[in-house]
Amino acid sequence: MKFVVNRDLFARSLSRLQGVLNRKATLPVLSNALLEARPEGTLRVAATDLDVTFDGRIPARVEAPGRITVDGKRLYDIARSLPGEEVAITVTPEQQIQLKCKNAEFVLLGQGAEAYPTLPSAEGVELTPIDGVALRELIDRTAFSASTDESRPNLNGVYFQCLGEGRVRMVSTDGHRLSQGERDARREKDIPARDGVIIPRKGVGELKRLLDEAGAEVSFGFLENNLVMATGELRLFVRLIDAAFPDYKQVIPKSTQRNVVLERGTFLGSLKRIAILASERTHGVRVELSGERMVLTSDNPDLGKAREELPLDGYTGGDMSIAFNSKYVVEILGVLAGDKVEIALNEALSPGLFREHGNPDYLFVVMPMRL
Amino acid sequence: MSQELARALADARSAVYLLHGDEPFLTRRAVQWLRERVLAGGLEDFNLDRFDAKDRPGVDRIVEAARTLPMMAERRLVWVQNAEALFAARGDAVEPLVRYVTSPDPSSCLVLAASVAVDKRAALYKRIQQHGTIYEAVAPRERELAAWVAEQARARGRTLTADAAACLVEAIGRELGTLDAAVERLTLFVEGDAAIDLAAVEQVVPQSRTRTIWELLDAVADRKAAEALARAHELMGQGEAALKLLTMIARQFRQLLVGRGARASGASAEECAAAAGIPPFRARAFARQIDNYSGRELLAALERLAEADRSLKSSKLDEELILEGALLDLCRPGGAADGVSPARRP
Repeated sequence: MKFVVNRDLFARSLSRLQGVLNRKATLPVLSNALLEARPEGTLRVAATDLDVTFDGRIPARVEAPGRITVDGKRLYDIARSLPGEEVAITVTPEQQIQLKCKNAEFVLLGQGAEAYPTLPSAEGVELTPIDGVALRELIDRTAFSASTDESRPNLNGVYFQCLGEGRVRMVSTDGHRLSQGERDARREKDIPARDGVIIPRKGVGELKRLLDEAGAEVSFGFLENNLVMATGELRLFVRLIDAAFPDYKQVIPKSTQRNVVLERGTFLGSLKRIAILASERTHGVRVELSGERMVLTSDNPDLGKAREELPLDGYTGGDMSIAFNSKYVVEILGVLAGDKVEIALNEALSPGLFREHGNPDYLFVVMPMRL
Repeated sequence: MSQELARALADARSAVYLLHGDEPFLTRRAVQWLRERVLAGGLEDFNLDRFDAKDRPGVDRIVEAARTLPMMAERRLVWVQNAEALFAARGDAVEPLVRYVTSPDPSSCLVLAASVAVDKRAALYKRIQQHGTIYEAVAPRERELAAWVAEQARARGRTLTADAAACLVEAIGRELGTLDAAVERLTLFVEGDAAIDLAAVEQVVPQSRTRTIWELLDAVADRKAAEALARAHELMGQGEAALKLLTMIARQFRQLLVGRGARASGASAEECAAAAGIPPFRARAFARQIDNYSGRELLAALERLAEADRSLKSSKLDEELILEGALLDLCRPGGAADGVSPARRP
């Protein structure tokens, strides 16, 4: 096996694999990257942890085709530090990988590709173009509320559903709050409706990485229980969570009696200030609506108290007092982009609904606390 | 059983529970019982928070979850597994939890489930004692096991006969989870409302280690030396210690001696078995075995077993060899009465 490849392309293709390489896996070969020099003049650079697979191809001058696996992190560290523009790689019959670049030379011990797991193939998968930018935004604004409790696999990811007419929806929840986003992500053709799937948190992270690189030009499809995302010569396979996402629509309030519109930045600033003295146990901040003002308070027996008033223009919903985990609300306000935020409430013990004012694409539900 | 749990667990109405004790099966069952009731009719996915105290999730996170109101449900269940770690922690570390227990959220049910008995001197324990419910999972005693097994069948709407329950306990031992699973299998095996009898147990319960111990004891009592040696090797291959097997055999010979005494005073086979503490389903085999040995032989056998016991505890000889020697002496016609024990051989 012998080939010459552009150093930057090679290093970039290896950098994509870093989140997938698993040094602690029971199969040691999973810490390796798979390199495959193909006769048609491409180098395949791939890795899998059996749940997420990155599979890419870059142009290469292939003198002798072949396959080998090698420690993916070491190879990446070497590739990105090499001085020249091109790297010449030769694999000896003893499975030693020689890298030459200008006057630098490295020899790495490889391992035969026959021990590497069979990678999924996107061949034959029907890929539908989708707006990667819209998808990236949906992930940014919803994935943060996915549960980290691994004993609840169905909450351990982001629910992704194609609604038809080009619209896609993402939802996540940890049982204390819920985020839902919906966007028209159509590009060249319609995105047909299909049942929702749960993309695991790790897969969502790798998907974000791919979207960062690809921009809008991506396509997606499904291969058995895998989500396939493609851009150019790069394919990402994410094994989906085989569980039913809860009936999340039940927890979204259908109607609300008290609706408040606030400047997002002002509210966020106040909330962060008041949260400084909130209990470290619960991060609870009390929100009181009274007349045409909102009063935020926190009370920590070990530290002291804080209080701040915000004016409410045209609020007529009546007095009420409710408490929220300030961390949850701060996170929501942090992912929203508009200037104004709507808060819709019913009773002190009913969920609070947060939205970007004038943008129906996103909604967030937060369960109150009893302080 | 459900009524007992309902009583012990205050009908699932407490806001804080400590479930602990030396019987993890009972603790697990109590957690499941609470889970079914606290989350009934609600959205379990949204209202169950699970923590493992071994992972040190932080007491603050537990309190934060317990203070969060349930979503579209009456109550939220906050379940902390391996909670014994919290009771071993220093006072400051669990102070937020102690404070929470004093004034818990009525719409949350905090369940601290420990896999062992926790320290009852801990401040957290005392506070739960005042403000919550404590359930101590204590394993039934050996003599209560058959009744416990029968109760598991009754809770499933079925009847397990006394000899079937005794056989099940003899075959499986004290492991409550395995006993309960066996009762479950038996209720499926015996169709309809028919009582689960000894024949069903013998068909359904797989060959177990205890069963093989019975086979070893039977082989010795029936003087079948080859079979006794084979069973003994099998058991030692499964990790049983020679000393334990010897103890079981000695117990068997003591029972035979008691049974023989009862027989001499005119007792029936069942009465002999009862006098020796033999379960009813083994009464017939026991009566036969009494006749295999004279009183003198039984006393000699016990003496021989005592020698082997001493050898196992003090001799450098291989334990397998010591046991084999004892088994051959016990099974030999004439028994150990006319033999010279290997321990005394040069």
